[in-house]
Amino acid sequence: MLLLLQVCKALSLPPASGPVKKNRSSARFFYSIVVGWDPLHVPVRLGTGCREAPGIGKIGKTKPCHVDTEVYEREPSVRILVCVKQVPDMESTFRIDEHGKGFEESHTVFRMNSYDDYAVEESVRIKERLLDVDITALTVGTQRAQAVVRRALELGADQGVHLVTDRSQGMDALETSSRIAAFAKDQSFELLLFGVMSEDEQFSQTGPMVAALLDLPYATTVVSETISEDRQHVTVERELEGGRRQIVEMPLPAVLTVQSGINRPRYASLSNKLRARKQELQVVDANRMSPVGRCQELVRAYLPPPSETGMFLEGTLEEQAAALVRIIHENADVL
Amino acid sequence: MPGATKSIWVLAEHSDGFVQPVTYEVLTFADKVARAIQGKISVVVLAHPARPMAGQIAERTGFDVIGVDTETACHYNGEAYRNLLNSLALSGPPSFLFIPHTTMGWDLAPGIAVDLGASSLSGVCGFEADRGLLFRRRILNGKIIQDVRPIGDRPVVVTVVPGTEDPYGTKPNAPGNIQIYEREAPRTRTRVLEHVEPPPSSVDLREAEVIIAAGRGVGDAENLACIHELASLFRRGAVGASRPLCDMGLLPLTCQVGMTGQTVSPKLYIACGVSGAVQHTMGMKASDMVVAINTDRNALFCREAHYCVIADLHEFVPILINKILAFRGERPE
Repeated sequence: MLLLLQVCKALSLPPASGPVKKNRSSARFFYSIVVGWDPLHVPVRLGTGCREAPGIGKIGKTKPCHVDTEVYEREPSVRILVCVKQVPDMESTFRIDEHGKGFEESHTVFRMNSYDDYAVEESVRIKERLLDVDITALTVGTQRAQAVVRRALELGADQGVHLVTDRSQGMDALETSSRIAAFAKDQSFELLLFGVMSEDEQFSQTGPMVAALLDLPYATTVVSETISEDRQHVTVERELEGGRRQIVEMPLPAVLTVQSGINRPRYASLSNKLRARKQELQVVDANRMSPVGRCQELVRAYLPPPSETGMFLEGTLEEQAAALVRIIHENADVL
Repeated sequence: MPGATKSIWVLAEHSDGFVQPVTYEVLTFADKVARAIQGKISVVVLAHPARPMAGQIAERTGFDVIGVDTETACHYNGEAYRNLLNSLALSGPPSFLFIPHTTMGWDLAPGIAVDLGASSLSGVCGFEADRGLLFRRRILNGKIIQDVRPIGDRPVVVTVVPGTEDPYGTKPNAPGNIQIYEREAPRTRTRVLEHVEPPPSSVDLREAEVIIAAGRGVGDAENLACIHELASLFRRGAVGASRPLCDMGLLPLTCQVGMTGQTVSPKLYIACGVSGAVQHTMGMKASDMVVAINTDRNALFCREAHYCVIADLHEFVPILINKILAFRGERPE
């Protein structure tokens, strides 16, 4: 419906009346007639002559495109910054390190924060939609964190940036955000994408902090986004409590943090995997960037006291199952 | 610290003109902090109209309420909220600003913290005031606890995890003072266009007596069959899910239990392969009896559960099904 209204506004048409107003799919259909998009929102452009989109390679399925070259070249190119974080595998057993402020890393497996998978995927989908899009993936972290920039390249990002720090844990959200903001400040990104939170800390701070530091509008917990035809605005659906959604519009450039489930992340293509392995990254020594403030002081880290856990059942699986049936029978009247 | 009363603001969360219950939980937390540091609490209500909700809070809790009434505040708009809080802070910023760690808190706290040049402590679930003020939070799915301290004399923005405290219940001697400021709608770049209610759920988990919740550990659709079978053994049994499983497309979002899904309180909640992220546990804390089936002894969910079975659920659930049928005499042991 929102889409429909925007299109009508752009074309100075009165909104269609009748069932179109109430029905999302018919709104899409109407939209498809007007601008030549198919009802499922897949970009099929009108015009003559097909032009290869720069750098798209073989990401996912390619649709036949018919792009009016002249119009296409006048459109500004959209630059997207997608920020990714390396996190420990959450299934790990953690031990406190000797400083008492973090965990021992020796046997820990690290990977990309899964919320960032969705952010990278969304940037690639925007690129498939708008074509002239350039995606830069960035991380802040020690040497080992470089793996997640390469991972983002595998998934379809064009450029990789690594802001190298010497501290691997206990990075402060303001510290990280200031680094990212300092890097992004003069780079004319139209869109900055983040995962809604990191799996390891779940504080949900970095995206909005970067936005506030750069004085950009932002939206969090985004589950869908639509960039306007003139590429001046983005309209997003934010997911709130209980599945309620809020629809918000803001001008670009803007910062979005995406919620899991916004898309279904793809597997990396072989060609992107090969490219990612060899591609040079832009490496910046974050310690040489101007000093930044912190927003907290980490005093100590420790394992939770065992008394907080529930009662573990003992014995073979058969015995545990029998015990559980007895417990359920005695405590809850449901059997 | 005699003479230096610290001002503590608690931001009320509201929806459709009603104060959200989580506001009163955060108030309990803020009240404990206030007693420890001799602070004075004011509840801040940004709304339109602001007076009814301000009145309700002042009457129920006895705390002073500052209401800012402006048209754009009838719904949450992060940019407008920041704008209004910043203008309130011009006449003296608070020492502490407490916000619920909800989608509002996630959205607002980092931004307002940058605006106020504040310390920003997010996802707090406790505090300690013996040697200076330390705030506590869980990281790595609850496997590690961190104590953090605000920096210097700056204001401190804290988001408090829902469920940390009970709703504020102390009966006041007298209602708190109410101050209402009428403000023109701040100019914002973000425009809230509309709110969309979730489609009426085909699966109303609130009616269920027993919920078998499937988490990421279930793995694939094939393994989901035994979860469905276990749920079908109970007269009012239903299958619930944690968010990752819905994101994987294995169960519809309508089955989701937690912050962005349904809030449930069955007699029995059996969580299979659920890691126990706070976004999930927020939705099932009120269950009478909670059982965890998990391969990871250190999973956060084992702390939420009354009873834990450390096992591969694909082996254990079929055995459990047999035992239940045998208990009822429907199948020989």
